[in-house]
Amino acid sequence: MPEQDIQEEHSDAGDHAELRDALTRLTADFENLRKDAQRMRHDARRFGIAEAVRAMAAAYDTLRFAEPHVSGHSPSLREGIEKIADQFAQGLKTLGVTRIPVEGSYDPKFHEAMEHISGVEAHTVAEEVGTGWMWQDNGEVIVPAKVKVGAG
Amino acid sequence: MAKILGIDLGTTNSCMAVVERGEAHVLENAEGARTTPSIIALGKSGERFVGITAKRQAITNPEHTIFSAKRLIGRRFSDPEVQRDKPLLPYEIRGASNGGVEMKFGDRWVTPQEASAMILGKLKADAEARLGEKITEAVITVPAYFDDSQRKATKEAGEIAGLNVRRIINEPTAAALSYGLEKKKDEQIVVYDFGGGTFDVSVLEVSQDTVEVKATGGDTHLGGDDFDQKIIAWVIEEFRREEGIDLGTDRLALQRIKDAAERAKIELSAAADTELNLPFIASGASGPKHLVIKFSRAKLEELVHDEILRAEEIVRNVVADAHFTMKDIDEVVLVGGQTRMPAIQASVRQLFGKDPHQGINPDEVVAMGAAIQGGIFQGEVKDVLLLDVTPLALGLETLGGVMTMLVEKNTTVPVSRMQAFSTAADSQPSVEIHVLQGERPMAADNKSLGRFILDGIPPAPRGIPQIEVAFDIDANGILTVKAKDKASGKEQSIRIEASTGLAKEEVERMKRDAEAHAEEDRKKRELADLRNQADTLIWSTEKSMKEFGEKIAEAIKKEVEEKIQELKRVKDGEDVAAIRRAMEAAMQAAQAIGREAYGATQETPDRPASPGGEASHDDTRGPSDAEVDSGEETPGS
Repeated sequence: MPEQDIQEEHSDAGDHAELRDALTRLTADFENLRKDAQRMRHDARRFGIAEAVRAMAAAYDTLRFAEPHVSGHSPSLREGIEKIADQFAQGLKTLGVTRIPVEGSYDPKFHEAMEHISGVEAHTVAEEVGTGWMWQDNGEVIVPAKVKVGAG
Repeated sequence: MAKILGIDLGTTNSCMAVVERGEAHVLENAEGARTTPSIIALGKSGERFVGITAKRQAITNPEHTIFSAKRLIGRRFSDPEVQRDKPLLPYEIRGASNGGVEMKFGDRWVTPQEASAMILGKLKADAEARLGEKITEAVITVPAYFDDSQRKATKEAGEIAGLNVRRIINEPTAAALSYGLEKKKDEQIVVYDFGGGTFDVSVLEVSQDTVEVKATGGDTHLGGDDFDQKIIAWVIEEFRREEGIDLGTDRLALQRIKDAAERAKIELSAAADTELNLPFIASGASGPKHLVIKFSRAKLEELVHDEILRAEEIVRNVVADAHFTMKDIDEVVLVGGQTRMPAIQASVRQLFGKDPHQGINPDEVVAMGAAIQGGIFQGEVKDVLLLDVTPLALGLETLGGVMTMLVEKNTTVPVSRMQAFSTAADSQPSVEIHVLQGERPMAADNKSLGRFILDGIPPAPRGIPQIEVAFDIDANGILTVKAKDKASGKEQSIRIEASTGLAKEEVERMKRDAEAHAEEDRKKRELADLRNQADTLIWSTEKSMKEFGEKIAEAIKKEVEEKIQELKRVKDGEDVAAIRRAMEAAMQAAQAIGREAYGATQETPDRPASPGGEASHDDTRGPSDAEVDSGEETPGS
């Protein structure tokens, strides 16, 4: 801006106030945007991790399905498969994701009921058929645990 | 103004959106999901589940888990649709005393309105948590084929949930709103909605300000879920053929296939091939069995070929019902997750010979449209009502022949602006409101649209009367200017029909003029402003002199009077610097009055200063600064 203009802005108090107002608003907008950006970065990271967990969860379950099949052949092979599954879970833990516990009573907040089976105490988890994953910090569910529920 | 929630209350899933800062966006629910299953349940110990938790426990509690309430809402128990759906519902339903439907929910019976209200209540609560503010109003969508009773019942559901339902709008209309198609003139729009469980086609006609549903049709039991079932059946058959094992009886295997089928279906929207890979799906005599099946897009299309043909037939019938041919259709909008499938998009393209609108998430497009309708009510989305903008600024003439703008150019109409003005002289009995249009700072350079006089202002010192001037431009561009004296309540107004009716060339010329004369105009304006400031300074100083005359030493009085005389002499000249100098001198002299009158105490303004009226932050301004900055200006008279 040429110097002459700057002097004229100063000489006109109306413009001055207007500019100051515009600058204040712009600064506030920028501050808000900065906070938004920070929050969005945080959200985007969590979103990305959750997507990856959803995509990979089935593979973890398959490892666990494999375990009983191989136990007859070689105990150490079974142990090896178990360790691969553990490694998977440990990896997720470093990203803040943990397994959903299934012991005890059935809670639809965390457990997706796949079957209702008699002979097991009502409203308790009879069996886990698919692993659930959640955020360690706030318990928000990423993948619900798939379970069989007792019908009494 | 409070936000208005846009809600797509679906048969299977519901979605909510809101307009913020002029843009519609979907709100996530408490579980972090963008859609909420339209399911409610009552647990064994009386706890209530709504949404995903209700869905997760459904299998353990089928008789107390209510879904598809939308299929029953506002219907009579005797309706054939209700009787047809009855055997498919795992929960009990019966006719209510008023002929409607009631559903068993625990040990009581609830209406579909109450069931829907529980879903709406959750959405409301989750939206409030997301936004951190109360939500009391909503726009809710319904299928175009809903009759009065179904619409009324949906509205009731909203009311039970504590929502004032501002409007019930059609789902296809909402989808068209999302794409801004209501702005089109005289167009035929087809909305093709292929959801999880239902298929709806609507033909809309958009004319001036209205969106009319010309025809609607569909199949309430055709949807993406049917596609999943086809895939699952094929996978089971393939495995049986290869391995001789029937997975259809193994619930765990079935669930794994269902998940894999859904994922594969989604993958095939982007890729031509995928693989269904489910190791250890079963145990055979020779050890574990793995399900590995190549799945191509071509195979998927072959599997659902009948469904797509059925949809095409429905589309043709609906367009014919509306008395149009395919060629008459100007726009096609896709709604529902299943429309992501390339074969469906190709089918639509082939039917209409044009590309459908895409780009907005088809699961969310209806909720977004509802939010936009809400945004129109809350005044955030002016764009949608966009009929016109003011081509030039509108304002009025104020003291010193200055144009004071009330409505800037390119302001979207309808618009209302109000500003308070005051009188320029003591005991001024009337003010003239001279309405102007143009971009130039001086009144005389702009176009005069009209003038009127507001009289009967009770005698008062200048600057005291408050005259509110309101400019209101309605959607048709008709300008009404109203002036009201707050003290006497007297009012005068003028109506100007052609405020935006300038010829295009005229508008252009006026804009060009404004640019060409910018520098010259700025100087004129500066001079006018300066003169007004000088006038104010003279007036306020003279007033103080009168008031505190006896307390002030003669020498000071004399000096002030001299300086004021000097200012009066130069203020009407063209020499900006001379006026400034005289003002400064007068101001310095005048400050002595304050010192004399109040001793060492701070000078107290004789009128309350308004916000922004900081005295002396610019040394060319006088003690009357507060008055000048108060937003009250003096109309010329």
